[in-house]
Amino acid sequence: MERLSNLKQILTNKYYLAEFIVAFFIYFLAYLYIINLSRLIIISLFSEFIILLLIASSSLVLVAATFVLRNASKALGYAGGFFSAFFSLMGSAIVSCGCQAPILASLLYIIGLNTLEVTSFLSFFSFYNIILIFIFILINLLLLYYYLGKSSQYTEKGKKKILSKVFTK
Amino acid sequence: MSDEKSIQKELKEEKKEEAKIEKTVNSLKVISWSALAIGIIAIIIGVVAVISIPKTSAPGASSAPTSIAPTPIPNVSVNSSLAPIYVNGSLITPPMSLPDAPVITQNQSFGSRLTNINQPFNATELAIINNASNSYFEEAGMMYLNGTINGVGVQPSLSPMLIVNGKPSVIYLGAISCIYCSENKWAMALALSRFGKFNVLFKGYSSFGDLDIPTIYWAPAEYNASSGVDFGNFYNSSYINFISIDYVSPIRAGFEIQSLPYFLSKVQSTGSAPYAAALNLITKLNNFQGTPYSIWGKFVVAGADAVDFGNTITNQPPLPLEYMTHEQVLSQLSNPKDMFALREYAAADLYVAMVCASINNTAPVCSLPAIQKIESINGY
Repeated sequence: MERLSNLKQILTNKYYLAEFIVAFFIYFLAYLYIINLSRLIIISLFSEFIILLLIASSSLVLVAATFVLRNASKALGYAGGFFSAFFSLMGSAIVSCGCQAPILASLLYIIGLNTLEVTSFLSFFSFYNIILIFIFILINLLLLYYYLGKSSQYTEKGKKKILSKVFTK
Repeated sequence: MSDEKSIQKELKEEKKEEAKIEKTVNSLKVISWSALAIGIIAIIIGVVAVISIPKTSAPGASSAPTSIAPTPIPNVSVNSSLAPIYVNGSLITPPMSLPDAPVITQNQSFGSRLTNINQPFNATELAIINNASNSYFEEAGMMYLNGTINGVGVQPSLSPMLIVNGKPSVIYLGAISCIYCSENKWAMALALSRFGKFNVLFKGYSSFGDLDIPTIYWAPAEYNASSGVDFGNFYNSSYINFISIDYVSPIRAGFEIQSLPYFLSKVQSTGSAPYAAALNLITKLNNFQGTPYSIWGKFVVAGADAVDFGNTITNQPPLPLEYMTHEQVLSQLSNPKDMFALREYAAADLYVAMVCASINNTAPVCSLPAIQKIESINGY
């Protein structure tokens, strides 16, 4: 509950709210770009719904990470930003992973895999892409939980709590 | 006094706790910076990957055909030479019917429709593919060249030609469940019909999970099998061979594909040297990006040549092709007036041009002005 109220407090700041909205749109545009570049078909509304969930959770992680970056640890903040972008882009690349997966395949060839290995990955992704996206969402939620915990002492409420402790003493 | 002591004790404890937190933060910092470094590398690799995927080739999209510079063809990223591979051996003739995958005659509703699956095309239907007028190819080719038709064409890469029994080969690797393969097969069949004849073609669909698109099967498909591979077809040509490989999985499920080692293990049981050589070539080329994957003489087309699901530009269901019967598709192909049919012919033109370039333009279709222009503009 404390973390939830932290999130609420962060998002009441208009700059963080704007960051959330901008991040959501940028991730969504990146998703559209990826599927259009690969000329992919969105097979089901369900796929589209879960990719939107992933994008929303990634945007929230980005906001929480920015808050931590500004108030607590730069490194933690940067890492949060990376994870946010990584999961949203990775999810976009595999959400429609079926017959054709040119971006993912190119990526796998670049990191040095051969056809046999790439086809194994493509086969894996085509079977488990939706499950993987759910896992990404779950990781995002865990990251959000962690970052909101880290940020607790820097919110207005957190600061008041610390001050009240000090003055009680 | 006791208050002071307890405050000091508390302060000490707080300091201890702070030191502990600092230690944790420091170790987290190392992890975070490492993650950041990995992230930057991953993003760079991602950008390179996006840049390196084959681009749609639409020569007429931005300017008139006469002013278009020939599109350079990227070299295949393989160390092997492009010298032809010669193989002798028999091709695979599949059975005409499968007891485990009978023809379904009930009229079923779109989305879960298997009506006439595995049924051979009748003579009239077969003639629409085999005897399509060259004028349709010419018209669609010119529309592609002047940019009226879009959404057609993938930049091919080079491959060594597989010469089987003295003739170059067209190699196809797909999956019966795959939506893109289903759409692409219409253009493939039209293109192949310019160099030979299909003695039989079969009605098929992509899987229910892949929108149940009406398509052509090269051979009866084991649509109930949990996993398998259908090799072979009923195509004859004096110019080329057609080597077709389709992964089969339950048609009522979603898209499925296996890795190449699975195909390689299955081809052993057929004893066909040309099919084994085709799969070895695909393995060696290192550019497989999913299905459909085809090699047209000396050109690899990784992906569908046209993404054409009816008269639509959207990539979201419902797609018009989902709600068409085979008869309706064939009717449109027999008299191509709308964009869907013309795009199929234009996609076929690109395949035709690739084969023509691979056989030194020896087939009559290669003399069509549109085909010659496509060859020269696309640098085939």
